Amino acid sequence: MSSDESNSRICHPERIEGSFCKLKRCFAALSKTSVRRNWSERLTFLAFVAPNFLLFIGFTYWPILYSAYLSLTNWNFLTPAPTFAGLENYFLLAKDEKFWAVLSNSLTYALSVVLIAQGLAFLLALLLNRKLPGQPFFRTLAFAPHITMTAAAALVWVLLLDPQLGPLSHIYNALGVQGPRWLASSALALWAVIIVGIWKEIGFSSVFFLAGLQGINHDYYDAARVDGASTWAILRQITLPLMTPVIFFLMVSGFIQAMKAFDTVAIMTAGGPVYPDSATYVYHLYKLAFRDFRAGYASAFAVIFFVVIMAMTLAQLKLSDRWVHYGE
Amino acid sequence: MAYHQVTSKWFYLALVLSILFSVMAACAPASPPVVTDNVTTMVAATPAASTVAIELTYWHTLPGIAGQAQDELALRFNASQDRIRVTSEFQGNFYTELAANLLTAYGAGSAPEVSQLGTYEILEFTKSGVLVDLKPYLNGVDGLDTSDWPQTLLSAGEVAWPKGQEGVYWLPFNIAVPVLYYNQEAFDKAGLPGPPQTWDEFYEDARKLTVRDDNGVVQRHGVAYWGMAWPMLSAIWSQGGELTNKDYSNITLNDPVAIEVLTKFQNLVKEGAATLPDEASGGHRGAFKNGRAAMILDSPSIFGEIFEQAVGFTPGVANYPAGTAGRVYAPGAGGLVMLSTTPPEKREAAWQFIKFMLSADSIAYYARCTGYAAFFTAAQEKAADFLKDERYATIQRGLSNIRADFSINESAAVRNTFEEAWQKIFFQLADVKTTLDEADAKAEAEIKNEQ
Repeated sequence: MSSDESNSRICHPERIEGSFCKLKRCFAALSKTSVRRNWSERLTFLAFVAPNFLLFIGFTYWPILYSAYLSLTNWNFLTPAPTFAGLENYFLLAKDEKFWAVLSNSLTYALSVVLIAQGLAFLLALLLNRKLPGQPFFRTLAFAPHITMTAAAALVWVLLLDPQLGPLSHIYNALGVQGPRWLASSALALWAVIIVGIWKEIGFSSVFFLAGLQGINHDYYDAARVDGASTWAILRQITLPLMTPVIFFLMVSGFIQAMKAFDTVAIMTAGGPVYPDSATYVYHLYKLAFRDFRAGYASAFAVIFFVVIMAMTLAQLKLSDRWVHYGE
Repeated sequence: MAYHQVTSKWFYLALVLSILFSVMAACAPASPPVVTDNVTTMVAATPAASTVAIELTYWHTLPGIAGQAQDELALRFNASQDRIRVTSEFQGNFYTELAANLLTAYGAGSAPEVSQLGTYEILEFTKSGVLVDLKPYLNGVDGLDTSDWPQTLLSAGEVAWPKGQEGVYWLPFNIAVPVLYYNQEAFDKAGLPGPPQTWDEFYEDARKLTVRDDNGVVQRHGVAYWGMAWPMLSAIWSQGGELTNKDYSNITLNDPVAIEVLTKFQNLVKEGAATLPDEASGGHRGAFKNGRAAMILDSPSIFGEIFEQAVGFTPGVANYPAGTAGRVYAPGAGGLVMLSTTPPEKREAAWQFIKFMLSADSIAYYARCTGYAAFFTAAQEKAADFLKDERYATIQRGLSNIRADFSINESAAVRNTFEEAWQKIFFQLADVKTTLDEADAKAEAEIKNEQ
């Protein structure tokens, strides 16, 4: 059986669908090309890839494997050798209410930031895509939050939200009411952090949406207008479907990024007001490792985090076949 | 063609060699240690003509004047002799950051010889073999006279580790006697004669000092709480309560006294007489300096900041009130430690530096700069001039009432559980007894993971 036949069997749409099949075809194509390459080309390839690959092994793969090993031990970073503990950390973690709380917080944060920020960024991109006076200025302005230092942005938001010091205090005073204390409220603290996350994310996403919008062939719009399609219909039937690859990319990358949220929490709430009201997964992991000296337990958290993100990303990939259109 | 092949070979050879060299360079030590006359020096670090024999690194925390004064002390030590040179390095704004840095540096083998250390880490670091037992140095021929030190401070760094073998791993350096800052004008307007002398007066004064506008919106709270358990500990101890013993065999976070004290603190929050400002927007200190709170329970380490930055009023400083068990104050503290990665030939030098930092002159200088206590008699004598200032004298007076028992801090299980409990009590106004009962049970369960 030739390798082509083998690939076509494995990649039969009834067996494996969509992106996995595409990936397999891609590898097969690469492999065929590689066979044709002479040794010189292979060595050149290796010479260019090896330094990066070595760095990846040293600084990415090895820490992941070591973290997995540490999760099976009890260690505080300080004693010469970790003590093997089997799966004890994982059993402890399953019963740990803080684990569930911070996981829920991180998922809430990630989903809210990704969904709300992308919705707003898309609308912003639609606006920025119009030929308006001062367009370059507004585009720059929209992107500014993304390049603002998180620490500075978080501190500014702390002041903005402060019911006594911030600009909102004037409104509260005029109304004769005591404003909400965002960072001192168990119900609002996480949302204060989410607001900052959304604010920072909008600029980044809108740039991608803008690039996507500008890549759409105008012939589609012209044809639709000739057919008498309304603006809403054009948006729903042409723009959105053609933007799905961008939306998909931003959802996957934005979700992973948002799940790793740390600095905003550290600056704004430190996980409070009642720990872990607003603590994200990574913030709690840091606290376990570097403040409570539980490196083994924190590593178990890290491993589960890796699994959760991997599962969510694969789920997104799998579901993408149903709604992402690559214009094929 | 032949030329191309030759070029390719040389290209690959050069590439492989360069990768190998870069990997080897990255793995090689920065400079080889050379042993000369029992003194390890780094070739690259020591100029050939230098007379300095021993290089030491000292890590410290605390921003502003409290950090600068430590740098200055290191410079003074260097100037006082020419055998040892200490490089003082700032490692973050608070003890937790310093500890995290020490943790990673220790693992990487690049820890300093001497460091400042908070109280959270004393037990964990000692049990993990990170700290050197200073007792032999303390009691040795070239030891330190501690006869005029408060016993409670001397024993704060004692740890029975290995079991049955008591050592001294941490020596007190910056000791903060907790103080109450108050707004003198607010007290005058409320018709109060002066700062509260008992905790019951404190609760009543907080109510009287609270100011509301016509809509009932609080314009000034009687007191702003700190987001730390520290002040509460003094209030509980002063009423005769206990939260744990030193070996955690008797954890009593739900001590009836603790329940009573926290209920009184909580009542002030419910009535609007107390507030808990978030730290990010200035915290309790910001609230006090801006006149939005009439009292705060804090540390003398912010002495200068309070008196320089108070807006539109004159701050006063007083000791914490007394309870039924008298005045018992939980001090804030940072100490000095020697790291076990210090090579034997450098330890004597490291001790000389610690000894210098704990000399009467150094402690008096540090107290003068920062508001921390000149905690032993000889240092107080050196600091006699500025202790005439009533504000400094107040801080010093509190020294006789301190109880340097850091058990609550030293266990993550007890510390975290108690913190979460009081946060629930104040922010969510949870039932005090139920919350402390749950916290006690949780701490009892979690302490087993630490032992």
